[in-house]
Amino acid sequence: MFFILKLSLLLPFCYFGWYYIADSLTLLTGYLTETLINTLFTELISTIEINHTQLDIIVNVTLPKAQVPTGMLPEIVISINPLIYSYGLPVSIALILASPFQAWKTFASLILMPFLLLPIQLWGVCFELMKTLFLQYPKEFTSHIMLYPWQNDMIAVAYQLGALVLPSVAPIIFWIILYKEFVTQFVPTYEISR
Amino acid sequence: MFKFLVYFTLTLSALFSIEKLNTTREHLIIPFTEYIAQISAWIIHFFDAQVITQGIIIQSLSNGFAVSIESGCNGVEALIVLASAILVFPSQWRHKLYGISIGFCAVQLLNIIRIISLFYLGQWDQDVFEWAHLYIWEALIMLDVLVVFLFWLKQLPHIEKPVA
Repeated sequence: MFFILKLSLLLPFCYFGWYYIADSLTLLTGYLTETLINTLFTELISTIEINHTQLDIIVNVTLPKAQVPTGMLPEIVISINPLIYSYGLPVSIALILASPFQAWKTFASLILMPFLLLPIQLWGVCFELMKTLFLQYPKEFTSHIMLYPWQNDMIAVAYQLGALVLPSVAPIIFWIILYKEFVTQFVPTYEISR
Repeated sequence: MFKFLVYFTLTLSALFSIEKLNTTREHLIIPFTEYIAQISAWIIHFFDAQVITQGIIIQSLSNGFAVSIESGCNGVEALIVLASAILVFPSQWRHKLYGISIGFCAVQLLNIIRIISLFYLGQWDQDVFEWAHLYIWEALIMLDVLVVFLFWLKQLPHIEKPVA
């Protein structure tokens, strides 16, 4: 009960702190997203512009030459809010701070957690980009990229997972792993019967 | 712990895949979501009669503002997470059913509070609505799942181990 009370009191402060550093986190996310996507699909992303906490991803697309004015490149802008995939960070920080304090463990967990959750955020951002580009925009925009139907299905499922489940479940799973001893006190124990 | 996490992930993936099937959505998820919308509107009627529902949409007759209860906002994913954790944890089947039933009520109760609060926050301030919708309520629902799971664990009887 005391743990839940501490968690409830800490959560607003953690959310405030998270939003305060959101601009810096978005910079890192933008850089890594561009690197990842351009590794998978060569030069798909022209550049990413950071607009406060929003990523404006400028994507190179294909259009018939007749539709492209001379001297211009066909590009579209896909805007993504990366914070919707990282709201688990303040939750996990609050869980760590509400758990029993052990100096080295608490500080190590606080430093480790953002790095553990960064892949979750990247998963969400990248699959939202791929879902929007490959499943919602006309196929001719990405005619230079061949995707099989199963790959399109995989993008759809991965996007749903990244949007609906991972951002909220992953922080709790990581916290359980880091604070295994604290969590296992809730687990029923063996009683010796004679 | 490792075994629990592996089985949990597999069960979660399986239940999530079943939930995403068109048949499941058409015959179970959408009717359930419509029912949640109706219950929410019924509660709202105690203090605001100017509200109607149309399928998964709740709308205010006074200003036209409406919310649509989409996937992720009907509490189903949260229930899948809780059910996966309870199903995988070693316990008797009646304890599992008890946990999932209580968890269903706890999650949906908080979910209905979420829907009603967002309905009125949206009419008051769009920025606050966005914050509450995208960041805060998602986390609170999942923390609700965690708390229910921990309470369920605490309620499980001690396992008797006879002396050899």
